[in-house]
Amino acid sequence: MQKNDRTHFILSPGRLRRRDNNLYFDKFDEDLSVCATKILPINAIDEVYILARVEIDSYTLAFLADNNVLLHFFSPYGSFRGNFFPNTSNSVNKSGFVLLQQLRAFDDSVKRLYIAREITRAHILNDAMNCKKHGVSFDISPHIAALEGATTIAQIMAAEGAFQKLYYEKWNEIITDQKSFKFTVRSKRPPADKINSFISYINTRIYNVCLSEIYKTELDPRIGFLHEPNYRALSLHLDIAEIFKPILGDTLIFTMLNRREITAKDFETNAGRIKFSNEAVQKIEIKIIGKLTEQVEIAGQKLTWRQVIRREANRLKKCICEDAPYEGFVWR
Amino acid sequence: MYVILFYDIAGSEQKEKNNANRIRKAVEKYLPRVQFSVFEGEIRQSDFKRLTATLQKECDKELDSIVIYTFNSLKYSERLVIGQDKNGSLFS
Repeated sequence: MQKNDRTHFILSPGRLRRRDNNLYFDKFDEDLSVCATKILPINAIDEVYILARVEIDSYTLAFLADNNVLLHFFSPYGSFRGNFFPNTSNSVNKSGFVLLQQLRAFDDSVKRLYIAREITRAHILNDAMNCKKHGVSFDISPHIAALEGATTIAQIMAAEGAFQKLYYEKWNEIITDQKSFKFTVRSKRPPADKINSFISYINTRIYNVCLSEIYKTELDPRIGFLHEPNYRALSLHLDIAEIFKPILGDTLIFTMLNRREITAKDFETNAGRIKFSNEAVQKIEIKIIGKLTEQVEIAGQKLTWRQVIRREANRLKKCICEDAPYEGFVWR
Repeated sequence: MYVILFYDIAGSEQKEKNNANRIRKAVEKYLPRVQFSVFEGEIRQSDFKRLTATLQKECDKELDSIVIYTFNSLKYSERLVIGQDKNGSLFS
């Protein structure tokens, strides 16, 4: 009986439908006939993660929008497809002033560099803290120095990339099961081995949580500072996730692998692509939800990790709008 | 907070209005069903107020009975299920 993060996960094919102003899920069997119906209490849900083939119509979507429920769609292999964000007064309470200030901060190379550097520094410090907690020595001073000396975003990215490469090499000292989870090189789209596919899945989840929290503030997720807002639609959540990936994601990967809660058996390989089995997804999600609803004391306040992420976004907003000094969140 | 709710609604032949459906729909919007007339789950304080207000309005004070247990912490409790756990988890 864990505390609920007000999220629901759909792992089997079926149909989401609206009835009696409530949400019903019809589960399908192999030949697409309904085999079970479940009621999802609409007022107890904030987000629905859809990891299977689900039928949904515009009538249901309109109802979900009225109730401010977010949908996140994934492909059967766990790669991210997109979100459904309701366009209601609650989700677009964006002020023009904040948007203008965000654009100005982005165009102002000094300020953009300052924010990007702070985010990267927090990322590096959090990574180093992970290594320290697992008794692995890691000298970060050359990387911090490279970061301080960086004068362009590209140089910050280069410093971060060089650091990240070394950090991932340290994973081989932290993770005990070297036979199936040896880290060689980070690969994406698609992840080539089991450890990469695990990292990708956890990171995607953290990106989505950050994105949902950004939507609750006045910031615009389309304009990121460290990540270039190129043709991909959104980038600010990637920046904020940089800070929280080591704290939430990496520690979770280490504990789950070292306690053998996830083993090589939890992965299914199909035509060269690797995915989790549904039982593994459930195990991981229960861990993630446990982590997100865990309360930590920060500046005299008891906050859940979700609220910490929102606080970070609001601090960023304060830096953008009121020129307050910004310092990335470092977890000790 | 965590809530366990169960009810017994008298049949429609005993009273003028049939309120069983209205009560069922009201509860289903807030809590997952675990058995035919038993619901349990995490609920917000504000949602709980709204739910109890609707139930107060819909309930027939003479014939119906609704019992609600609330918990602020589940530290001293243990949940044992024998057989099928219906609608218990976050996954479907």
